[in-house]
Amino acid sequence: MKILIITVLFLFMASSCTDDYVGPNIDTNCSLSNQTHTKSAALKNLLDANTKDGFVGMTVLVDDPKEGQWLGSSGYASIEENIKMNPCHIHHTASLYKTFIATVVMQLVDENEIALDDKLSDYISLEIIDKIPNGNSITILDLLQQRTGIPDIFEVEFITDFFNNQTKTYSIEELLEYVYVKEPLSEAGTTFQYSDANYSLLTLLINEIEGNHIEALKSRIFEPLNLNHTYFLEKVSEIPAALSNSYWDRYNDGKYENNSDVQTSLTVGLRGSDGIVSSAEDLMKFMQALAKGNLVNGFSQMINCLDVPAAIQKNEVYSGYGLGIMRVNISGENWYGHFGNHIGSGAIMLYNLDRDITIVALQNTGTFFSDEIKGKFFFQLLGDIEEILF
Amino acid sequence: MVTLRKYLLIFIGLLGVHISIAQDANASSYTKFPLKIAIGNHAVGFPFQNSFNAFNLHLSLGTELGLNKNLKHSLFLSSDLGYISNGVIGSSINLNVDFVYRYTHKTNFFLETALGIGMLNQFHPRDIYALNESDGTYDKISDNGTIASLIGFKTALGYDFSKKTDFPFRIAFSHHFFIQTAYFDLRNFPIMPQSSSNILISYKFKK
Repeated sequence: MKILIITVLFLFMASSCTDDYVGPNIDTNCSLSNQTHTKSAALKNLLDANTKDGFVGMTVLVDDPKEGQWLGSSGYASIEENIKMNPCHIHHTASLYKTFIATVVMQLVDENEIALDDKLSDYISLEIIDKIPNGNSITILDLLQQRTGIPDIFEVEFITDFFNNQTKTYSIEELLEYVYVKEPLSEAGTTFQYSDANYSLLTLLINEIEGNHIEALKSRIFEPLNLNHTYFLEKVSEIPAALSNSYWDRYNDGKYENNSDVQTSLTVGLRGSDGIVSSAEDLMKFMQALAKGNLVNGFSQMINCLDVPAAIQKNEVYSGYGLGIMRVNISGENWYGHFGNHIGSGAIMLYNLDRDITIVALQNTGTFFSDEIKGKFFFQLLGDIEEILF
Repeated sequence: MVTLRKYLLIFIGLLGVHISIAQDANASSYTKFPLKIAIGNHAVGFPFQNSFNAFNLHLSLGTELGLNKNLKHSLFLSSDLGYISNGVIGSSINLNVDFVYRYTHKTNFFLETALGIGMLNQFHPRDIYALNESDGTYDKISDNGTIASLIGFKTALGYDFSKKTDFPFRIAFSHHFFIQTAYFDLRNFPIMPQSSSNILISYKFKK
């Protein structure tokens, strides 16, 4: 019995040891001077108020041809190393990936490599198609519009797996296994259902046509636009030094833990759903180039958003979904772009077509598991920015 | 870690108390209350899902109170104090009370099922920081844990040596599935399903 007790106590002590992650973060010594906007002071006050109310660090960019540009930061990129957030820090962009992927797909449409009403089964191996719900009937347009009926990957089964191994990296095929042979939620082409599986399949489509989606993103978007602070994270061991740490308020009680290793693993490892880290300035360049027709011919088609169900409008803020583009309308203004919602970060990239205004907001506190933080970021912050601008 | 050491001391203290009580009992040749020790693996998931995908130590120490004297169909109240080491969802100390039915076959193999409730105190898996509102900096703070309630069921399959020999010892494989509520967000994630798969031994000390 004594041996058993000693063994048990030894195992207890051994299992209590944890390694706390300290990020690779560096102070970027950023010296930007994009403070020409007439409402600069109010925007700075707004950011400071947000980093005292739930967000560890945040960067916001507002570009308005009439009123000027404002790019500012508040809070911390690294609490542990006492590094203040600045506009040169790079952020995880989560589902902004979908707009990038949709852009490449629309370029392939422009080049007559594919057509929007082509069936996915014309391009992807039957081995995968046969296991995808509605696999034989969904079109490329259905995938872009998220109207395939395919359930989302990030449901209970994935989440319980995640909480057993939170730094696992997944291939596209491994992620798709979470939706294989499941019942479709609706007929293809009928009902909006946000599902990362749709963009995983579009990523496979790009791989089939271009060989490699990462190289396609680089050669078709990052390099032509000189997005020098935008990276596709391919390996956890190769992350940009200016990447901000990530934090999570696990119990929504104002206690933050550094989950940078988890966030980075997911950015690297949710292949086909994620992967891009970027700066506010680069995301502005991308969104403006897309909106002004410098990347695709069919931007007007991309923003032809069909309404999403009322429950989604209420909980997720956006009211319509086009081709990799959300339509967001908080107080009468239509904004087009995308949200990125993640465990240690949040991202907003929006363009107002009527006023030619771009807003990018990036922050390093997890929104995925917290309705409160999510609401503050995607709804309240945007509403407050609108109030200042208009 | 300071709080965990506090719980470890309580754990050792309870063990000592149990042993001393056990050695003073005089109703029969063995003590009335067996000492039950379980050691195994903890996982997040539904019953038998992900049970051994990662190593997360689970330990528990407990005892049981017989409610009837039927040797074939026994009813018990069981209580245990457990510790779960989990670097993903956070380590925790838990206290459970279960209502147990045990069927013992003539071959001395037994099958148990139990329904129970409990509470746990769960700690962040990493250092935590809070905003110091006076100067806008963050301070590292101590973690006193977060209390949550549990509801769950247990199954066990084992062998009872005491029926055939004069050795009051039972060994079993047990699986405990429980739901923790709430975890971090009552609306989005109202429950955290978890399980532990254990080797369970039960021993009655001599008077």
